[in-house]
Amino acid sequence: MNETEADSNAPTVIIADDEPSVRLLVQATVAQDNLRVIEAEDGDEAWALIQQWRPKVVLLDVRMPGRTGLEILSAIKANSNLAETRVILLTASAAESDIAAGLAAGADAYLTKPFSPRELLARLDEALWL
Amino acid sequence: MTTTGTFEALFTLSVDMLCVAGYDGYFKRLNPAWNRTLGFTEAELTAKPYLEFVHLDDRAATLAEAEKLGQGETTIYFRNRYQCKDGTYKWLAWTAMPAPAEELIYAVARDVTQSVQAEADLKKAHLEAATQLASLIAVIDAIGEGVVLLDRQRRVAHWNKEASRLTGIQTEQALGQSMSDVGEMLRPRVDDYPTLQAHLASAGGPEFEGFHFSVITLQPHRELEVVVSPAVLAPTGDQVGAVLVIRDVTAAKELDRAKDELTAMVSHELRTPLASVVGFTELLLTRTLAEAQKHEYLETILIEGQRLTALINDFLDLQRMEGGYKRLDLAPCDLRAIMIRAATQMGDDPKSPIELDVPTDLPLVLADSSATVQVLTNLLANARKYSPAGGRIQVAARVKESAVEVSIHDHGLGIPPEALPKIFSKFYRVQTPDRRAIRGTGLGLAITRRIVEAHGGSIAAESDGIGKGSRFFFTLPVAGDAVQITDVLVVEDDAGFARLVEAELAIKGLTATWAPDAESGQQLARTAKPRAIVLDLILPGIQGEDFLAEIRASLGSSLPVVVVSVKELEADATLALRSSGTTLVLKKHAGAPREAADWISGSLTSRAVAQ
Repeated sequence: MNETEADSNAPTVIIADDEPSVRLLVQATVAQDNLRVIEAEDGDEAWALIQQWRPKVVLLDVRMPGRTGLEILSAIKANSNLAETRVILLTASAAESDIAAGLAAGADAYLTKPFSPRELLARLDEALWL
Repeated sequence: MTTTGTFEALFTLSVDMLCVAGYDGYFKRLNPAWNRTLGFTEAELTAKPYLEFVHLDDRAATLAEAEKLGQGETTIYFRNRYQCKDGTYKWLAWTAMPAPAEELIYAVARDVTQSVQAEADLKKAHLEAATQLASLIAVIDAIGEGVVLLDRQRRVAHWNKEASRLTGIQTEQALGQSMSDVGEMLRPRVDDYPTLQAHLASAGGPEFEGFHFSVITLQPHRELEVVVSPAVLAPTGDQVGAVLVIRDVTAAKELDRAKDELTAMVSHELRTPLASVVGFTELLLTRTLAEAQKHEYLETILIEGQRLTALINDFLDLQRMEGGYKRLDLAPCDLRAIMIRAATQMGDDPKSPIELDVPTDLPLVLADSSATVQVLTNLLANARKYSPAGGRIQVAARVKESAVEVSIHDHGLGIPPEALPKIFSKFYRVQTPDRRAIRGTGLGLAITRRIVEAHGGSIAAESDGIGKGSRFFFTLPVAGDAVQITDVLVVEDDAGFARLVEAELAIKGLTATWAPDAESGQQLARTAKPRAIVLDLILPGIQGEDFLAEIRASLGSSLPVVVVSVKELEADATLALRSSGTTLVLKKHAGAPREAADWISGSLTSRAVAQ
């Protein structure tokens, strides 16, 4: 687990992706915002951290070891403690069926890799403040 | 009227041909029907023996029949051909009885020409139809698709072998059955019985348009495509039956799925590194960053860019192997030399040293030496990569049946048992936390397997589990029959040049064996007993000069040797080479292979003359 410095009132964001470079990219993108960013390297670690931190936003890679992004999404939707948690899917499969499955399962937004950091910030802002 | 008069009247009136003939072979009396049928008068017919009116081919049978009558038997429906006055013949059917006391034969004949003709026509038509049907059935049975013919009553009239293979229903079981009976037989074997039964009901129904449907069978799992066409009688448009063609599309469907999956995988694998390249570039362009950060981002872009390159290279490598575009240049090879070369290429790493344990008397294997080096370096690189704490890497080789088995044993992370069956699949990577930091395209082992299998070998992996190290085994076929007595040994690491020299030597009527390096050449010089050698000076392991010195020591100075080289030799060295039955050909010019072949052919001929 990797945690950025932020004040204790800062909203928590969890980024779950098995690619270190993608986690670094997310960290770099939100570096100027006042956010507490927590990293998870696989689906199982992500689920444990989500239950522990009840983050405001979760950025989920769809395909990763352990639980998949879609499995975690379903678990979040089924857990009343996590009703406030918004989910953004990060997917490397541009297949429409995957995107449709993600939205049907209740994702608030999705981004297809490669994505623009500006686009990520826009989606994050929507999820954090709307 | 008297009885005689009555008979006489009936005799004259009869439409059938009535006659009395003598045992002497002549007609005695004939009624007018004869004249009407054959055109001859009674006088003409009684003037010659009746046999002369009979068709040549029927005379023997007629004579035999007459003899039987002479012995008192009756004739019933005997047929022969009689000549008509116009030269044509007519078929007559006979009933006759003898009157031995008077030595006469009473006979009735009828013109049956038309019915005989009709009978012959019918027979011919039957034979033709049977022949056509037999060829049609042969075609249907030979065809690689299941074919079922339904008759007018929509019952199975034919069920070919492929239909039996695909459905599991034997021809004998199927013949005569209705479509719903066939459906019932298939019930335990299909995944969707009601739908199948509905389709079969349409096929077995009275009138229908052509249609097709799919069936999925269980145990074995097959995807079948069934095309149903009505059999229509052209003149009337009547549906006289139906044809069902059953096609096995399992392999095609699986190939489609595999392709889709591969495309999705490639897209996924390409997009992940691209995310870093695109994302960090945008950050670098749009934000003011500290030097340290800039450096970190640029480094990430570089690493991810390199990862993309490796991925594309590996993927293309694999495509070339799978598409058959990459041809293997097979030659008898000294595997030990190849293993040493691969280990040298890997470089020294004191943390994970490579230990070779290879017998010096291994037989030559039939292999592409550079592809084999690639197999070894792939496996050795993996052994090091997945041994982050280091540890010895033991490489061994041994003869196993008609192959040589190479094993690579590391003491690294090992492979979990559930991953073992999948590690040679494209893009599969073992996902355990201990190897998360280890990068790879997931294609290396897939490429390695392709190369080994293209050689006719096999590859396997073993591991006692996580943390227990891994063992990889692969086999290459022993060269065996590929090593034969040869005229010329071509020691050359460039497969293309070696093939050209071989071709030029073949024109001279000389056989050649190619050795891709000096080590293989040394063994071949002993076993293939060459009468001349073509030698490249720059070779992967032992150099040409050293090889030549050894050859001269063991096979004497008289063996003709052509040295081909890209490098100009020192003048005196060249002289020294020449003085001992050696010539030099420079590779630079296009005629080099022919020059080498000419010289060898010349020196072998002059030697033969001298002897």
